Amino acid sequence: MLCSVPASKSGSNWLDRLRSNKGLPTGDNLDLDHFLSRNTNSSSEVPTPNVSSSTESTRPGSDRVVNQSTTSCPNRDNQGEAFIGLVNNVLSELFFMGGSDERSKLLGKKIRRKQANPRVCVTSTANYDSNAATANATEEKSSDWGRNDEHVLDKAACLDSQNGSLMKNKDLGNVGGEEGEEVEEEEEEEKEELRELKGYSISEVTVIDTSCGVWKTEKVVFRRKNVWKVREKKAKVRKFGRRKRKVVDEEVGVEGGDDIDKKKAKVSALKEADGDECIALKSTEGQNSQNDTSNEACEDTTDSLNERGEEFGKDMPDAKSKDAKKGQVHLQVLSDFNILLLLVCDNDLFCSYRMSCRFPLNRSPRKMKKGDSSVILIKGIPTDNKNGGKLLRTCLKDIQKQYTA
Amino acid sequence: MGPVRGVRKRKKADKKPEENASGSGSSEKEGPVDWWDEFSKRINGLQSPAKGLDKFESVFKVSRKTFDYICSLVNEDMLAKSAHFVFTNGKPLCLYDQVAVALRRLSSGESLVTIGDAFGVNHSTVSQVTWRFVEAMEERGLHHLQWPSTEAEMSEIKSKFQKIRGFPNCSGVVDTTHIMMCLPASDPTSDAWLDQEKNHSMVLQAIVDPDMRFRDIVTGWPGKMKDWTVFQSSNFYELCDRGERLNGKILDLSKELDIREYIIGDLGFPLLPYLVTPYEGKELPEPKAEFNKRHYATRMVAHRALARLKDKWRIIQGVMWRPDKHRLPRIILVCCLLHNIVIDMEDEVQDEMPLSHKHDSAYHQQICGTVDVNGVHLRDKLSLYLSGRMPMPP
Repeated sequence: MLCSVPASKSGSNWLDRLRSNKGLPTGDNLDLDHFLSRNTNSSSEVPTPNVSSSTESTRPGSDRVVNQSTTSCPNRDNQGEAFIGLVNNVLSELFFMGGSDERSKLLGKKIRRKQANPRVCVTSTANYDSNAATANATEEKSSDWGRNDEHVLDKAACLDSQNGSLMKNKDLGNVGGEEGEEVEEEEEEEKEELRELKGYSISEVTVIDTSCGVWKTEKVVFRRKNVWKVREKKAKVRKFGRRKRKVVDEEVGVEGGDDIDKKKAKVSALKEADGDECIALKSTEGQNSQNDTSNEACEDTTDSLNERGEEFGKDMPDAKSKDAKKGQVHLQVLSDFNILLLLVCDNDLFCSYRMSCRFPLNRSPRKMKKGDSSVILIKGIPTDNKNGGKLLRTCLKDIQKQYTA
Repeated sequence: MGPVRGVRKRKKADKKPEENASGSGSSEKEGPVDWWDEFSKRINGLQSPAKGLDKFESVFKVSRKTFDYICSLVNEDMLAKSAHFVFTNGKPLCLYDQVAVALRRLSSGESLVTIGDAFGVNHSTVSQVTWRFVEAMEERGLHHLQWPSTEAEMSEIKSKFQKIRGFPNCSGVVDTTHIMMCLPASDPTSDAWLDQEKNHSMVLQAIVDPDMRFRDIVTGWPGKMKDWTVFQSSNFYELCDRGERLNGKILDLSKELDIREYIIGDLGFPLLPYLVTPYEGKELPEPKAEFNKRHYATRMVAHRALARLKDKWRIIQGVMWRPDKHRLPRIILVCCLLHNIVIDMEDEVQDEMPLSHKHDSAYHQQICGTVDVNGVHLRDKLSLYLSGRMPMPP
C-alpha cells in the first residue's frame, strides 16, 4: 500500500485520484511511451472538460508549445495539441513546489530555465494562474492534511506562504545557486589565495604574545624570501565547518549551485534514459538564526550558516522573516510521469506524509535538532559527483522495485 | 587494542608506588628542609661531590625562598593530575622533587638522561615532570609577566629609566634574541627557521623594564623573520597603533615640548611615535652622538635581561636538539616567568650572577630603516632635551 486514504475515498487509489483529477487516464498500463503515443494519436480517453480547463489555465505557455508542436508534428489535431498542453501543464505543476500569489512570477523564471533546455514533453510552459493558485491555496487552508498528495503539495505551499517562506522550484534553484555561488566564491577565494601564495613556503608556528588576551595562538606563516604572510590557523576549523555543512547537505539533500544543476542534468538524463521513472530531490535548508547562534560548536560554521541565511534573504523577499529561515525540505518524487510527491517539510506535514505514503526513501527521517527544521535523511544520495550517479540509480531501482512490486 | 592494554599496565604501575607512598621517606609533609637534606644526599650519592650539587642555589639557580614560592605556585596543578612519578628505586616524587627536577632541567639545560641519572629518575620522568611544570607555570605564573597596570607602577618605571641615562617618560626597552635550535635537514620548513646568521632559531622579543623584568614578550616566530617584522606582528604594536598602550601621561618639558610615553629599541626596529631608535650613521653631530650613547646605555637593561635569561635558564641558551617548535615557545615563556619571579622575589642569587650583555653574541645588528615623522620629532625632542639645551622636568 503506497498510502493510506480517507475512509470515504477508500474505493480509489490516491494515484488514480491524482490522475483523474488532472485529467489523466488511470490504469496499470501507463508506461510513458504508451501514454504519449496513445494520447497523441487518439485522445478519446482524455476527458475533454479537464483538457479545456487545463488549457485555459495554461494559456501563454501552451500556445508556445503548441506552436512548437505544430512545427514538429503538423498532423496533430487540436485535441492533440490541447493534450500536449495538458501534459505540459501537469508536468510543470508537478515540478512546481509550493504555491501562492508569486507563483506565476516565479514560474516565469522557471519557464526560461526550461526553455533553455527543452525536452520532449517536459517543457514547462504552463503559466499557472495566480488567482487560481491563491484560490486553491485558500481552499486548501480549510481542508484536512493529507487528503491526497496533491493536496499535501498545495497545503505545503499554503503553509509555506503562511510562514512567509514561500519556496519554489526556481527559488530552490536560486537558493541552491546562491549557496553554490557562495561556496564557489569561497573556493575561488581559497584558490586565489592559494594562487597568490603559490611559491610561498608554509610553516605552522605557535606564537606566544603576552599582550594578547589569548597569549598563545597557532598561526600559519607563508614566506617567500622576505615576504611574510601570517594567517590564523583555521584550516582545520574551516574544514570541519565545511565537512559539517557537507554532512548536512548529504543528510538533508541540500544541493548547491553546480551540484543542483548537475543532479538535475543527471535526473534529466535518467529520465530520458529510463523514460518512465524519475526522481528529483530538491530540498532547501534555510538556517534558523537562533539555532545558528546556539550552535557555537564552531565559529566558522556559524558564520557560514549565517552567511547562508543572508543569501537566502537576498533571494527571497519573504525570507527575512523568522520562519523563512526555518529549514525546509522539498521532496519531489516523480515516477511514471504521473506521480508527484512533493513535501515542503514541516514537522507535522512530514509526519502526515510519512503516515500516508511510506515512501521508501523516507525510511530514516531524522531531525537535526530538537525544535529545528525537519530533516529527511535520504541515505545513499550523496552530493559528490563521483558516486552520486551510481547511488541515485540504485535508489531509483529501489523505487522502481517498490512501485512495480 | 594494544595501546589500551599499555595504558592499563601503566596505570597499574603507577598505582603501586602510590600505595607505597605513605611509607616513603620523601613526603612533602615533612617540610622542605628535610626534603633538601634527603634530596641532596640522594643526588650527591649518585654523583660525585665535585659536580657542585651540594649547594641549593648552584643546583636550581634560585634561593630556597624562591624555590618554595614556586612550589606554592604550582602545587595545585602539579598534584592535581592523576599520574604519579617515581624515582628509579620506586619511591614517589613529591612536589618538591618534581619542581626540583623541572627547575634543574630548565636551569642547567642538561639532557634528560643526565638529569635523570643525577636525580635517580628515568629520563622520561624528567621530561614529563618538566612539561607538567611548564603547564602549571603557564597557568599560575602569568601574573609575573605583564605590562604595568597602574599609574604608580608606570611612574616608577619611568623614573628608574630616567635615572639610568636621563630618558624622560621612557616606559621600556624592546630587544630581540634568538633561541637556537638544531633542526633536521629533512625538515622542509627548516629554511624558515634559518636566521641571518645561518642558525636555525626562534625569535624572542621582549620589552624590559629598568629592573630587567620582562614586561611583554613575543616568541615562537621563525628566526628568519626580521626584528621589525616580529614587532609589527605583535599585539603590542597593534595596541600602540590603536592608542591603547603607551597612552599614559604626557610629560610637558616646556610649553612647546611634550613627551609622550614611549619605548626604545635598536636599529632593528622602526622609528615610530612610540618607539624611539638611535640615529643611524657614523660621525654624527654631538647631540645625536650623545643621544645614541645614552640610548645604548639605557638599552643595556634589555641586553642584560636577555643575557641573564639565557645564562640562568640554560635550556634556551645553547643549540636545542630538534625541539618541538610548538612547545619551545612555552618553555621560553616559563623561563621568562622564572626570570621575573627571581626579580620579584628579590632573590639574592641574581646579585651573585655576573652581568653580561651578550645574549646574541654572534648576531649582527639588523637595520630596519623605517621612519615615522612623529617618531623623528619625538627623537629630536629627546635629543634636544638630553643634550642639555632643555630645562629639566619638574
